[in-house]
Amino acid sequence: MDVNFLFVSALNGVVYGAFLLLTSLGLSLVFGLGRVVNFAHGALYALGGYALADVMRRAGLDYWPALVAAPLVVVPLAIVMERLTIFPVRNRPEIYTLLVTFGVSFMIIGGIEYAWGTGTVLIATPRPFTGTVSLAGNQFPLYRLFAATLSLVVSAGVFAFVQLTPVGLRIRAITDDRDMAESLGIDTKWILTLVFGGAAGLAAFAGALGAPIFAVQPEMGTGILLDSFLAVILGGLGNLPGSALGAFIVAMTKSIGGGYIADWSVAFLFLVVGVVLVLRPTGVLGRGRVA
Amino acid sequence: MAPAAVAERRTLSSREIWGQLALPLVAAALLAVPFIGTPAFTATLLNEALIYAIWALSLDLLVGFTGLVSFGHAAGFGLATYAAGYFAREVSADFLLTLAVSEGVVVAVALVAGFIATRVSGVAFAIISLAVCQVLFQIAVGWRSVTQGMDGLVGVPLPRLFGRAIAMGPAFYTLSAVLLVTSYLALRWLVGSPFGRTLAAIRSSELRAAAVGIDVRLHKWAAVVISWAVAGVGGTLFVFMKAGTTPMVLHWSESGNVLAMTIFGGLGTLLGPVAGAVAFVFLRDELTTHTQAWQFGFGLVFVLVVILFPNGLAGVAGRLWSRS
Amino acid sequence: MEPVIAPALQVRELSKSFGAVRAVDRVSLEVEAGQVHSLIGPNGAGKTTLFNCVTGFLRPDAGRVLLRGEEIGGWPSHRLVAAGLVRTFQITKVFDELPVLENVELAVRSRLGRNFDVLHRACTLTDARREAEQVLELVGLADRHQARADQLGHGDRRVLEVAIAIALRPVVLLLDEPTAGMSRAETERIAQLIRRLTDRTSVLLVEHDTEMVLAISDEITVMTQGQVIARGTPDAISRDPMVQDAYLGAVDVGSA
Repeated sequence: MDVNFLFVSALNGVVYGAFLLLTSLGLSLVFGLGRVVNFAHGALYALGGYALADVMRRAGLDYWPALVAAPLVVVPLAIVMERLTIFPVRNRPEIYTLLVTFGVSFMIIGGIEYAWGTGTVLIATPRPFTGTVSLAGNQFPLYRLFAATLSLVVSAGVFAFVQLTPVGLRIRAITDDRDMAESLGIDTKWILTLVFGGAAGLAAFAGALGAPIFAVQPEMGTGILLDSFLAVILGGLGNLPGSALGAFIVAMTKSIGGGYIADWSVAFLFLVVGVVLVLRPTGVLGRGRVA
Repeated sequence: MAPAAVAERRTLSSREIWGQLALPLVAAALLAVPFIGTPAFTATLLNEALIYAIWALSLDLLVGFTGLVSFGHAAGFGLATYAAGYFAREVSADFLLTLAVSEGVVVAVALVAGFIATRVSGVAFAIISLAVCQVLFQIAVGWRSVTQGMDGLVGVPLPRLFGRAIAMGPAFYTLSAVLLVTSYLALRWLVGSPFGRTLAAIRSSELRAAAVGIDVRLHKWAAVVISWAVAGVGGTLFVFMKAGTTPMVLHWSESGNVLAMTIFGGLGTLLGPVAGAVAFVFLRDELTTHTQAWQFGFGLVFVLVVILFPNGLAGVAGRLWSRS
Repeated sequence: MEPVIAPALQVRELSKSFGAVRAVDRVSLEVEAGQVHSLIGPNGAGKTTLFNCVTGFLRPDAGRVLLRGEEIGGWPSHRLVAAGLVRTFQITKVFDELPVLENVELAVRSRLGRNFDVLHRACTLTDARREAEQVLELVGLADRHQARADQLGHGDRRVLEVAIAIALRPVVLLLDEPTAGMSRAETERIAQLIRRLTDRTSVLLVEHDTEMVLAISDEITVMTQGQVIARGTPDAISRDPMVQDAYLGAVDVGSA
């Protein structure tokens, strides 16, 4: 066994895990809060990448300002999407939000293909993080380390926000018991919109941040969408720490397993997920719903 | 003590006569299509629609009757195209034999995938079914020695039935139509049986179903396997019609297509999805020639139908019928 | 010598904790054949937790549950029902989109082992239908048999749930707050129905309506804070000072 290869695969797993954390947290928050399952989450991630590319090309901006701009472009679109498509089905069974967002994802990806074509857009690694760094004798791209660190910091910020702020308290209250929260006078409607927008912003940010690493193409969101869902299911639906754990399990499984059996990484991942679900249908921490 | 209801004999109203006759009439019309001078292009499109209709029927059993929404229903269909295509090309193009082999493969995989997927319900089930399909997609792309990867399988010969080749055209159309009618009748029987009513109970309330002694997991597993098997019939026909297959048949957008057809047609009606499949095929053909934004438009229609017409065509038709 | 018949239901030293909270603390009770045994106590006494443990919805930490002498710990719902342990739910659960008659028919067909029957048309199973009609008559819903279950009023829905349970021919019927949210008249109706069922099944009932409980029970168990504090006939319970303290308060229960 090539230790270096394993080491680099593990490192890549951590990097991917950090990105997956951003998207999984958003997905889990929105679900826990409003029982909304956002299938368009991957499309929003892709939209983040394309917004970045577009802003860089059209407004001639550098990478860093574009990184800030991309989520700012996507969030309003996401809020409009939520009001027009999710809001009307909010009282129907959960599966309706999944269906509706499924349709929206087609719209977004179709729109992307129409506007930018089906080819890949390459984003150059931004300065000053070009180049590699030497880790245990292996050369590893510096930007990946930076991006992973930034993702982890932002994720920690999200956790802190939910745990420590007054708004976060309201979010947790509604997630726990919506009816009780409403009777206590908490305005549940705009909080859901706020969180939805925030989650979309996280996804778009992840898409833009990852653009130099993972390439920008219309289907870029599919993989991370499925992985995010698997992470959330593994962690137990609606369970935030569980989703974080799930994200890293998924990322490491895919990266290390996929490192050895490249084409079969999804199959291997599914095998792992399948085994977990057979043994513990409520998720690895055993505290989720079986849905 | 209330007396038992006595069935009265009375003459059928003309509405009821039409209601009873409508189905056989439509079926007859469908079967007659290639023989009444329909242009070849339209007949071919309709043939494709018939195959998709089998696929949509199988999804209706799962979604409309058991309440299990699947986002990966391209799996059974696509898997069958590969199994049947490979067998027909390498071993024998005898249709019945190929169908048997392809069904065997599909059922075997469905047993495993279904076992895992039915550990969970609702949203998680939808995602797991998507994951299953993605796995099959990856295998189709990666197992180059068998599937030829992204190039796909080519050179699948014409099917043979009782020693004679079935050419594309009226002969193959009739084969497809017969299989569609058979699938429809079989499913119609199934949903009217006690087993079928048990599925309906599960769709209504899993908790209540378990509380009346129904083994919910086992039933859901059975529903998954049966729906894959029926989809497999469609897949076998499809690979013969296209003389080959590619991994794109297992792409998640295909799962979205069949889901759209079924929802658009009307869940839980069996006939609705058939109509939905026909509408889909002709609409897609019409729209892809006119616009590049097909996928966007498809998504938009999908969203509108889910929000405004959750009962699909069948719901609209039903309302019109009861108002007349 | 007469053979000893095991009680319909036995709960022995059942305990269940949620973290540090002891919801059920070594509770035992027995329901004899043909008996109506009620479980009462203030909110949070652990009645519903006990109920959920007995009916397989929660795993108890300790203790045993026996149905007609047979241990049923850890059995899945459908197996319990097949053995004769049937429950209703605090929030009424019926098959909403299906007709009232079919709600009961499904239970009958399930009991007859027809759940995997693909060889018949469901509508031709006349024995199941007739039995379902009889049950609906027994509970007084025969005239609504064609209506969709979600079109029934609250009281009728509860009665339907009981009908479904009866159709399963239970050994023990566990009713979870059957009169919650009911008017006086509806409560009367359910109470009389429950008494009428004793010729075919035993009943364990969790309730808050003490008046009704005192009127129809053969035996009453009183719980508070996870423990049993009293057990006996309605007469004895209504006179028990500990029970009055903990629960009944100043309820006047007639002759002292």
